[in-house]
Amino acid sequence: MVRLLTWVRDFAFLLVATMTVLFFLVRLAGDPAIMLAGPDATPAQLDAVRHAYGFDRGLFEQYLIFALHLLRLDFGASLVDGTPALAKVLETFPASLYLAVMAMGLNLAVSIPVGAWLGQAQGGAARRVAHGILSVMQGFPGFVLALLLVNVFAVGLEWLPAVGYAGPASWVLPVISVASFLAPKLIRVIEANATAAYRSHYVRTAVAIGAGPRTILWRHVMPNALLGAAAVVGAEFAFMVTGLVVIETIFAWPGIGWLLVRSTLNLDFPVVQAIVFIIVIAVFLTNAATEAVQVRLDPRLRGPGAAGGGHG
Amino acid sequence: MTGSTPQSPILEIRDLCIDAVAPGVPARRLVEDLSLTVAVGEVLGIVGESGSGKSLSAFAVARLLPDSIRVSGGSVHLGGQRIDDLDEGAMRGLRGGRIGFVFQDPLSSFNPVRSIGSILIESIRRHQGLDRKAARALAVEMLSRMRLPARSVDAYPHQLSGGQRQRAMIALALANGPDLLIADEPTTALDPTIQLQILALLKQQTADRASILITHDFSVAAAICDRIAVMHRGRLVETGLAAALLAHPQHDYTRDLLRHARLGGEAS
Amino acid sequence: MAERILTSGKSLLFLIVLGLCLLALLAGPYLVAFDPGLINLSRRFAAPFTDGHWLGADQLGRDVAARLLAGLYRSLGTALAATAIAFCIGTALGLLAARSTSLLGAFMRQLTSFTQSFPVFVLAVSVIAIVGSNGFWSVVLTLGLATWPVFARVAYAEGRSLLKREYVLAAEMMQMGTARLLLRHVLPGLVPSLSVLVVFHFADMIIAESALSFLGIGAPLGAPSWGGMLNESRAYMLVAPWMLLAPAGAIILLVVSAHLFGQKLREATA
Repeated sequence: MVRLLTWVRDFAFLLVATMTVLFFLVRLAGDPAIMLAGPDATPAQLDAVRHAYGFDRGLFEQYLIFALHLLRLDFGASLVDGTPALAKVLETFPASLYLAVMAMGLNLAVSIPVGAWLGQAQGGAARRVAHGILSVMQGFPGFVLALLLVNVFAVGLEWLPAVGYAGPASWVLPVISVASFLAPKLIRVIEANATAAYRSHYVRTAVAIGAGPRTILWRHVMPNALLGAAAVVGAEFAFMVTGLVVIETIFAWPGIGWLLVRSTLNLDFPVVQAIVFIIVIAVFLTNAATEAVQVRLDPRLRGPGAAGGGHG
Repeated sequence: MTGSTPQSPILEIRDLCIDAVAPGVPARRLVEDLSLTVAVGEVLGIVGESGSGKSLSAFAVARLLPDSIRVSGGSVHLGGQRIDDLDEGAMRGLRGGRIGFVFQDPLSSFNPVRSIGSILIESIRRHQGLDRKAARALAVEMLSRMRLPARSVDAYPHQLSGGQRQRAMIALALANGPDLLIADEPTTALDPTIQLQILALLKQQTADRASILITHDFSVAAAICDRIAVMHRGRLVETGLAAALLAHPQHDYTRDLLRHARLGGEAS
Repeated sequence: MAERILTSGKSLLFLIVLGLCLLALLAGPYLVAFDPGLINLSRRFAAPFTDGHWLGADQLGRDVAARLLAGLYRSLGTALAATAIAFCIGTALGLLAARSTSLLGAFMRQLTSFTQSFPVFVLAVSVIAIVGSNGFWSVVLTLGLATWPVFARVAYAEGRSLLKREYVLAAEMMQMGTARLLLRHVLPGLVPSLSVLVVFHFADMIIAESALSFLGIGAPLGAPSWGGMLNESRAYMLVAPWMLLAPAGAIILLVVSAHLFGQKLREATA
């Protein structure tokens, strides 16, 4: 119960803080009426726009009105085509979600076996090569990699489409691009956790009851290694949003990041505000889900349950 | 009476040598020409300071050593069968089956994210081939024999007390009725009041098997051991029946150790 | 320790790359004969090493090497300035929060969890676009102001543990002022972890600047920037791959070498 209250409080703080910062930045940045009416508008036209959008009122009054509208989830209409901003954002949300989930799936499918392999006994040329690749990949800018992939596989070899959102072939490059900047970090964490687990006393116990190498890896080492990596996976979901902005733009993937770039370039700030609102909620829910999964998986976080009872 | 045992030994270690190996560095001898025997029903105490090679020697019986430490000579026989040259698969059949281990720190020796029962069941199924249900029933029985409640089978290590965890560890070591029980400092991590209970519990389980108790503490060895072997810097210094060795230590090093133990005992 | 850090292969790469950057900044104008904005349609898509175009020419016949060099000024300048701003604000606020009691400390914790979970880049994109000016300083300020909590988090956490050390407690008993206490006794203890952070942040800022200008949000249209060059190259990948490879190679070399150096530094200071 206390947990839930803290959760709601943090969530409210995050939302209010972000939206307030964004509101004042937008209002202080310049005269939005000029953005709306265009640079060639006459003073009379500007006044009309100011009045229509309420820009002629005091800043605080405007903020109150904004906040009241926010409570009703009303972000106003897109300045580009007049459709409700929030609806426009929600329309693009699924595409981003697909990309995020597919990329995270690929990330896990690669990182878990590779991390497990690297976490086993040290040494060997193959491992050294893998470590070298990982060191470079950790710093590799994801969107530059995406461009290079497009150059090789779409433009050069013509194996895959360069842009678009139609059919599995067009998913390959965006998913690989996003996964490529998630995997190195996750692999490193899983490797480090697995290495630590191999040195632990409980793995010695597993050896002492006659467990073989495969049982030790998957039943004794990896449960601990993956549990420690769960927090990283959650953080990577949030981190991925940043990557989506650029990757979606490169591949013309009609998601929330693509819309964000288009709307910012068009100065369509009702849509930008709605996007930031949705991202704050999505990221917060992701964090909450990560925490819930950790509590579910880690018996130590579940608190005392079926204790043995008695003393000694 | 001499140091020889009345019954034929279950465990026979002859001229065991153990080396630390690292790439690019000459091997370093850790244990030199160690010979020991343990008979059925007998508890052998191996006493020494840390670094004396006492734990390594006992773990080497089941090749339970880190990669950087190797057995480089000698032989080990268990129940008349030579086991030091077994391949890894056959050795796995012995570990947890004919040879049971009790470790020093029961908290870190149990996997924090797996229940006590799941480890017990894994060991029972591996060595006895029982189905899940029968293995679970046996796990509960083993735990209750160690005077742990049946529900502790589903408990996680952090939910048990230190003493309960060590009882569970003993249940794990004995789950498949081993011929040889090796206990490495089983009471060091526990409260003094619980140490005696655990030692008594261990002693009850030693009747029909050979047991080795590794300790740095003569009073622990005196409590339950029939025979004591003293190790110093990788060598066996002295061995004999517990009462005789404690009353009339033959070797200077043993005398030193005993004197320090008594001084320590008086001081505390 | 310094010797061990500097003589490793990873660090050597970074030092060489840094040296190359410095050389390019100093000698570049003498090596590259062209103005980065000079349009010469007769030289459209000139291949590398022809007509004095070391790295070829783009769709308007502008010299790629000259634009790469001009972009280097922008990238390095933005990354260094943004890192400096984030470092100063973040370290100062983090240390003050570590020293102060309840309120500021609580605020810092809240802010820490906030920025840990929020994709700051998204906010930066919206802000830069909405603020509207495409200038150098609006990018620098936004990146610096958006990312200082990275430093605040570490300064706060490590500052708190340092403030509990005995020599700091002793200095405190002598009634040293807060500023002097933090500067003389706490800040030096933070140097190892903060310097690692500076290297990684520098690399992140290089990426952020090029990503922003790639999106058309950072640098003004037509102004030479690595991200802008990448964006323009997309339409001509088949005819003029050097338009892609030159800026991509420059970004990768700078960012990856900085990252390797950071990894080495972290290993050495851990």
